[in-house]
Amino acid sequence: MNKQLLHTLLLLVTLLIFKASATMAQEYTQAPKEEVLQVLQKLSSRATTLQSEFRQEKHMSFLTEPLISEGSFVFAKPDKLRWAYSKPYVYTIVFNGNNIAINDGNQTTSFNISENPIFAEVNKMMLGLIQGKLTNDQESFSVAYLKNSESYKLIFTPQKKEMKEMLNAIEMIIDKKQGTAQRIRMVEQNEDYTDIIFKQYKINEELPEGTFSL
Amino acid sequence: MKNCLKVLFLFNLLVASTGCASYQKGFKAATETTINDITASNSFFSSNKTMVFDADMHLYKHHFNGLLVIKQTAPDNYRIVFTPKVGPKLFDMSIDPKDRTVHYCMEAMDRKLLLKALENDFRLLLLNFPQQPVKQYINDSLVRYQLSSPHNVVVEKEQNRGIKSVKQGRWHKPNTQVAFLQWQDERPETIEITHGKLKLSIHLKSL
Repeated sequence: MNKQLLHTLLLLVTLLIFKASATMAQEYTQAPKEEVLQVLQKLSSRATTLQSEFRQEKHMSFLTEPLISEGSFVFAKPDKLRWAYSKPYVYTIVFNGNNIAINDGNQTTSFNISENPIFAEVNKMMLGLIQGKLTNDQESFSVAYLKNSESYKLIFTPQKKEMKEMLNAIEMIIDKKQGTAQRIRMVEQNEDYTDIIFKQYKINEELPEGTFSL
Repeated sequence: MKNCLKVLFLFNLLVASTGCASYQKGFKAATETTINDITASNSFFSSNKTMVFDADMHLYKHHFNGLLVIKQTAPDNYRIVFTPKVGPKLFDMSIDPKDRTVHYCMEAMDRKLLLKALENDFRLLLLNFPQQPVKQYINDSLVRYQLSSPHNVVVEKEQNRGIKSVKQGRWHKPNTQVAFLQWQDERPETIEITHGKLKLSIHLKSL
């Protein structure tokens, strides 16, 4: 490879890195609530099904590396959700109306949502986050709306005592064009946090039969 | 009354000696020269490596599934965290040779007796502060160590291999038992922690 070409390539790579850093470092400023809700509403009304791969990173202060797991989720209106981890463990949880089924790789257990208030909250929170409806739950969360040129950032601060005890905040980065969540960060009271990073969204694709049964 | 006490004393002595004899049955007293490994520490936890287990915890009628994370953070300190796969952690504690520090515990689990039981379970699981056993017994394939601390504990190892079980209390009816199963590459694939009286059990699977 000749020297000039190498220099040009190096310059190009450097410029790309600078651009990426600049984008990532773009600060968020306050966003009009209506503008954000409009984008969320648009996705909510057009998407009857939503699918995505995700990577989950659990960051704990005493660990040098986060605990990483991968999986996928499928959502279908109005209240069906399949949340499945495939690596490094197999664990699937399906919310289907008032029923919850869990498969831990060996066995499946099913129960009614009313039997387990913790899962009732998890169900409400996950569906709320995916549909963008958590913004309506003022009793449970106060919401700050922020934006930069590419995304919105919503910061949900728990209002209920039980939730406050566990979580400091839930931060959600939303793609401005699609309205889909790019990342959800759950920050715990001691600042340990879990990031869920979503990729490869599929909207309104047909779902295989039995997606929401285990 | 005096006779009654005497009978009770003799009865207790008989029960105690039967208890001891039963776990020694088929075993003979060992010396340092008859066995190679004289410590009862759980070597696979004694490293800076983070150990992560897929964990199932049954506590009375409640069932918790998640990840149990164990890390040696200092030569005499271990950090132990139980976190669900989805959502924030349930408890986070450190143990050292003398004490435990609870960094976080969800309100529903924040009970002194439960935390004490969990601390004891983790001490038996880790055997992380090794000491010389007070007695050792051996047969053709197994070595049993009686420890002075934790109190009333017997560790059973396959000779020159990993720990098979740790029992606290009576040998045939232990209060707490930790079973290390399916050893592969010098670490157990699964670990079962069970209790005789307390409705608490923990099943761990290596990840």
